[in-house]
Amino acid sequence: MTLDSLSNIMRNSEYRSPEFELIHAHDLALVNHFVDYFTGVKSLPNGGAIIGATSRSQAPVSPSMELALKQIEDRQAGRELTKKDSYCRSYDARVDQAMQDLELMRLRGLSKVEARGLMDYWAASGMLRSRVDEKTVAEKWALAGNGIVGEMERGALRMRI
Amino acid sequence: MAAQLPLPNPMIPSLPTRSFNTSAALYADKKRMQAIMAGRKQKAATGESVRGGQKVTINKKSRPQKSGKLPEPGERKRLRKRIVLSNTNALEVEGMANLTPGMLTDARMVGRVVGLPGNVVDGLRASEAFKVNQGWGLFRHPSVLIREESVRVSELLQQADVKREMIRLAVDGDRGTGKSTILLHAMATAFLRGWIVLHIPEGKYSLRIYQLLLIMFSQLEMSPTQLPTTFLSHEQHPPFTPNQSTRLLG
Repeated sequence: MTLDSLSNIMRNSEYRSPEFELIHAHDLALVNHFVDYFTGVKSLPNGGAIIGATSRSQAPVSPSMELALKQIEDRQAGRELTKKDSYCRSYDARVDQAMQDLELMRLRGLSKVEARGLMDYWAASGMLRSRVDEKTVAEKWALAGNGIVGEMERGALRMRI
Repeated sequence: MAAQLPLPNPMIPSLPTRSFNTSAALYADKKRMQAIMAGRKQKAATGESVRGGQKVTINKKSRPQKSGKLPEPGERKRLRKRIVLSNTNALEVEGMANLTPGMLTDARMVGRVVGLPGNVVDGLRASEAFKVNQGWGLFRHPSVLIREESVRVSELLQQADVKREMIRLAVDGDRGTGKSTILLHAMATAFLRGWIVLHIPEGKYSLRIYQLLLIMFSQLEMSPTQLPTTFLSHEQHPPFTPNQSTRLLG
């Protein structure tokens, strides 16, 4: 079970009940179904994987989710856990509790080897017209902020100068 | 005693005087005045310019009418959201293998681009795993780069398969680092292994409440997993009021 754009889930929804109380996103059926498995409340009898990915473009910020992810990373690195910001008012208690026990994979840029492989493919497809050698790979890699794939694609494929 | 202007002496010859204003003399000459006024009235009646010269009339233009056939309802949305996975203008990459279950956890495959087999592509398309802004339509066959992280995800899935346990993973990173693509890789792994895949493509749209389903749900007291297949008309049912036991269907 996979979900894209996790921060849309980890907040109150835009809806209100007839008593005019805010409805939390976790109370909506489809989201509830995902979140129950994501947090471990329910479990799949034959095993499986529940993966949630955050989205960083045009997605709302959920401070509780960000904090929870930072804390998971701290735990993985063996550091002291990041504390809550005492001046922030938009923490969500339900989300704090929900995202306690997860595994986190933080994506960074590609390595030069991976970048080379990708650029070879682009060149072989005829999309990238330049020579693919150490120099050009290093150039595109550096311009993409140390290998961020989206930026590499933009720089190599979409910008036609 | 007030100063007085000297009166004109008839004995002294003087130059003929002209006043600045001709109207006075004109008004004094009644007949001439009447003829001029009559002429002006005539001109005004026919629409000619009273003072003489050319007259320009500006006609009010009518608004441009929209012509052409409008697209059908849903057409624009369909075009906006269509996903093109293949481009015959791109070259065929020789020697590019298709993804097989054996390749998934092989660390030597890191840095290689592999194609996605047909059934996997069908499954991914049906689950809405491909996004419009990603560059799938630039190449001949949909293919993915195998990264260290994708090998790791495949290993986790294999572990879940073997041990029959549930893996809960959150994927985070900056913009453009490949989070959605890692999800796609995970889904491709699942399809290759014959797993059932449920993908929620955009968390934002999973928050919509479908009013008709809500009403049905409250009336028939169904559990959230039993999604109704028929839609009933809104007028047949009273307005929905949620209580403690109902779950809102989103």
